[in-house]
Amino acid sequence: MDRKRWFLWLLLLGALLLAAPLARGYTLYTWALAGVYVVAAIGLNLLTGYAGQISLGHAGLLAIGAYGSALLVTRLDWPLVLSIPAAGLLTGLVGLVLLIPALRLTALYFAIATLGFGAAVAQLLPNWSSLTGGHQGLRVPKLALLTGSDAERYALLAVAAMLMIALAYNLVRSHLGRAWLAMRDHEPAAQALGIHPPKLKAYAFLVSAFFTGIAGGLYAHLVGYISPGDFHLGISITLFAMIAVGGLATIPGAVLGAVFLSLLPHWLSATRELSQVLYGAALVAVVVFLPYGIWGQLLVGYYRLRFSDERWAERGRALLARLQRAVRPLTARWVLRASSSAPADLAVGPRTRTQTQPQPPEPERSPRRGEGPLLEVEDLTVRFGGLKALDAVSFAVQEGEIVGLIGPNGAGKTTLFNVISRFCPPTSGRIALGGEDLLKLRAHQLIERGVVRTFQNVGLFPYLSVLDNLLVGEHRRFRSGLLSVGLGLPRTRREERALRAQAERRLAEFGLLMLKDAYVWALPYGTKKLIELLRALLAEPRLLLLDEPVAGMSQEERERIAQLIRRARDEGGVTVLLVEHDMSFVMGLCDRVVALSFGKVIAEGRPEEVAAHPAVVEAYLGEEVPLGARA
Amino acid sequence: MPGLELEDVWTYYGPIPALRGVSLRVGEGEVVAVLGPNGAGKTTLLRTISGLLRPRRGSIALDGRRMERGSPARMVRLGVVQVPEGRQLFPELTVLENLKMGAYTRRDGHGIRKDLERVFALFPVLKERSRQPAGTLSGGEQQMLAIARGLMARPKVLLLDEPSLGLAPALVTQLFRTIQELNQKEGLTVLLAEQNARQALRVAHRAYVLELGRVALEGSAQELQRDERVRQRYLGQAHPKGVRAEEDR
Amino acid sequence: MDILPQLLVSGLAAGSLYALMALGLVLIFRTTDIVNFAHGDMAMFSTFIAYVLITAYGAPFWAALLAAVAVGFLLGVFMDQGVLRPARRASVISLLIATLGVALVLESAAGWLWGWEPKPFPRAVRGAPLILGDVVLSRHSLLALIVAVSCAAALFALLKFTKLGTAMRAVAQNRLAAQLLGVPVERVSMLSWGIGSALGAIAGLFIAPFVFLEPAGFVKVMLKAFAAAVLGGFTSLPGAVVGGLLLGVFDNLVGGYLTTQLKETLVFALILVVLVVRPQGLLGEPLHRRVA
Repeated sequence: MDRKRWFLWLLLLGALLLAAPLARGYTLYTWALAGVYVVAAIGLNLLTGYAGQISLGHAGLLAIGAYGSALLVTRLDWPLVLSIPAAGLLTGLVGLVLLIPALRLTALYFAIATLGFGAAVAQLLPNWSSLTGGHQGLRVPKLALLTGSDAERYALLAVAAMLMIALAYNLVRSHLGRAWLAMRDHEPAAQALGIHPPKLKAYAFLVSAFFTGIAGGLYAHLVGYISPGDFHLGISITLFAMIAVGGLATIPGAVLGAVFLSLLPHWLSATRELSQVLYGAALVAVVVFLPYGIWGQLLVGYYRLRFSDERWAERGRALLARLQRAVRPLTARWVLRASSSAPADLAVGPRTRTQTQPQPPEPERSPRRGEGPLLEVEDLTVRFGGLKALDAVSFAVQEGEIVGLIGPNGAGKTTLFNVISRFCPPTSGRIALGGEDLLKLRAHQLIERGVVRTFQNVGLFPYLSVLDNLLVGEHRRFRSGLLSVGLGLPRTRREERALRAQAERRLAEFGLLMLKDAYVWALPYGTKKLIELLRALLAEPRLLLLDEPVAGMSQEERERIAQLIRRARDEGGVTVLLVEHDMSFVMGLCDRVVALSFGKVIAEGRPEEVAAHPAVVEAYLGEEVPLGARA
Repeated sequence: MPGLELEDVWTYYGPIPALRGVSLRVGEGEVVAVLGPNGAGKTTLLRTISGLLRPRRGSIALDGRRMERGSPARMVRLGVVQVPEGRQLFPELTVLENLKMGAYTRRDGHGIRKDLERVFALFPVLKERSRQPAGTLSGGEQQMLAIARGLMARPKVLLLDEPSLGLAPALVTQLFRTIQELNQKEGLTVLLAEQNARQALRVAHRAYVLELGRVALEGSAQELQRDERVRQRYLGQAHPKGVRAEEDR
Repeated sequence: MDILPQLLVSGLAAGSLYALMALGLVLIFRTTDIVNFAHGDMAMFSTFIAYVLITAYGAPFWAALLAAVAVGFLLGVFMDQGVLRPARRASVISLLIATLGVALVLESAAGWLWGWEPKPFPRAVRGAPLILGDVVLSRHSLLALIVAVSCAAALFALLKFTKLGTAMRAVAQNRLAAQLLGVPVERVSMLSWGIGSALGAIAGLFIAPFVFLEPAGFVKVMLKAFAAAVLGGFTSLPGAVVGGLLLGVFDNLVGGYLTTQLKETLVFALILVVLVVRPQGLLGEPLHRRVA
């Protein structure tokens, strides 16, 4: 957490603690209960808001945490300060184990599975009476430090909630938090940058269950009594209402929503029924009118004001003109490609070439041919049902070439890219990358081999800033694990700072530094495509796969992009395979062109040759029919 | 005046203009082709005419009546029917059910039955397969069904979006022959969006070439058939200027 | 005495009701791409209306049934037009959450109007049960079976033989094409929601005698409907029927041979197994993922 945030939250904590002696016992109790909801809401938010997985079974997790701590205290005499965290861990693990099979499910089915989970727990609780005390529930000691008063409990809850908030911030402001949002918003693009969704989802579930388990434990020892009836589906839905009203994928939003919705019924002196009606109505109202939630809507408004479209459209054009000069210093970094990617080595200034390790002799950077192809596609066939999307496609891309892939609609170009990116398994055939079998790799492993791609519909993550988008591009360079990130260890913070500074420097070289905090959704289309290309180049690719890199751009922008790509090859030795419909662009830029039609390669060679090839002309324009056949 | 008339139509996808001031005209009884490479805006054009997209600027008129604000259902009732790209059949419905769905907006039972006969006469293979689910038909048969379904709506103007897509060349020839027949024998007005320029120009009276959302060329089909520029628009320029220059601005 | 035939018959009777509930769910999903997480609570609310009519006004069962159907239909229409249509532009997650919100409102409204304690719900028809060999079937269960089968048959007849039904299927299979042919897709959606929820209401009325009527109680029932739909394949209407029947039998077999205490848990386990081993269920189509 950065200093400003720390300060504000501590201030809030201070205010809350100071208020303690001033309020009545019952008010303190309701505020303490709000604290429990805050922790639970953050837990749900991490899974649903950030990682995008809907869970309808969080009441079940609350139950595990509550009963877990209760049993540790009543049966094993554990002190509360141990039992509650232990309950959290227990909940995390139990939840994870039960739902590991569900992690590969799509959102809908995952939600159904969690629904079943919640119902199963709700049924087990009263029936396993030897453990849980059945319908009668369990009495447990309340939270107490010295006096055991309401004020004391309230203070303990406030502190506990703050600690959990700090933990949440550590997670969310790390590469893991960014990876969650990336996975939520554009899973294929996230995979192409080295993110492995099942692992990330497992982390999200583990963390979410941990938070919820802690909340359960806190709940048990706040109230002093738990019974199965406390953990029904309505609770799961209430938590949803809280994070939806507050704002998905924001920590202050979850806090706001939880506090607001748990205190609202008390302010209105509402009955249980009325408060639930309110929650339900609030949920519906928010979805219809305020999809971003209260806090979220405020953020959106702020970003709109700060990064409004018109300003950036003008600046975008001016910035593009500076590309040329900025590309040159970048090439210094491409030399480092040969060495490992430890962050410390990359703390180099923009125009210096001092290295902290011995330089390998600088290889020839002009296009290298004849060293064996970098990418070799052999006899690739892809069948969807009865349809052959690709039919025995074979071609090779030599290192340092720029190859264009053209063909009419439905020719198979996107399918080919998706097979290379490992999003789609081929029916038969081989693909080799520098001699290695590409097909045995998974989608998220390609970037380690130097294969980077862009997407037709812009593979940027709209709710991350430009800088964060670039940092997701560096995801594989972050070595810290879940625990280090959560605890905010110094090593993690150093790593984050170093890579962040590096990304900022690179943005500065391209003259885009003022965009670093802009949320991508606020940017004009051309700028977005440019940033996606930048992110790809910054990953220091061997092979760059570009899917319609200039679609929707003006003529001037297209020329600039062409120049950028050519420079990347000339000075950085990057090999490029691109798909495009703009023929002038392809003809002007590519060394070689491969033409596809109906899934088959119909021509291959220099652009002018291919453009004149009769099969290509026919594919695009249709059969040559003798004139005079027209009625 | 009779026919379909577009004037200065601008359609946006969010902030991006996909159609930039397109003006075109399809006279009654004409076959007009809209050509152009992928991404030129042909599908956007047809979707705008059909009411799936609303233009931000410009007007669309049918027989003199403005209709750019119409819903898709209204367009169909006015007689503008689209056969969308990729056939878009109802795969689990039978051939017959698909055809009947085409006549959904019509109330004249007798007329519908007559049209069904007409359509079966035009495409005998559909009659053979009338009880089979549409998803089991071959590509060519599916395309025929899609067009037949469109015809069941008794259109004044038939919009065809890339009907030759995914069809083997022999079938494509047959397809265009059918389109020509429909126009010549029944006077059906057709607006045809196609990548397959040569075949389209065979059957069309006039044509427009779209590029990047604008009308780049227009003329009679004969003129465009002979025009080298058509080929260049599709396949880029043989000797591009500007992009290769070693400029350092 | 061999209890297997009894379990099978009772299972089929119960299963037919799960099937009916699942049918409503899948109909809505296929036509509008939304999973109605308030399906169970809509049925619950409609059943409560019937309960009031029967107990407070002495209405005959068939009249209460009609009222429940009407209420269910209206709730479905309200959900589609009043909640989902205004929120049309929201993401799928948001729309699912909206249905959750409605569920919560319905539960609390029911609790407020009629109290939270479980209430015994009268059977549709009283009288001596039928006995065939070792098998005993209550008249109510028999009637439930008949009603469920009739409703399913009526639904299939509607879908197969009427213009409207064909339009509903068309919209479910290809919404774009339907729009381009002038089909009023909004009205079709509304109707699907109405019919789907009405089916749920009918199922609810017949299930209620077995589970007692309480505001928070129909979640279990909805879960069974989900399990049935998952088992049969969420995209398949016949699958919903098959899934429901199989689930009913499975449920009863577990209850008869193992334990009645942990049925929910086992249903959950079943759902998980199906989703992992064969996510498309028995009769559904395999799901493809397309990459932009």
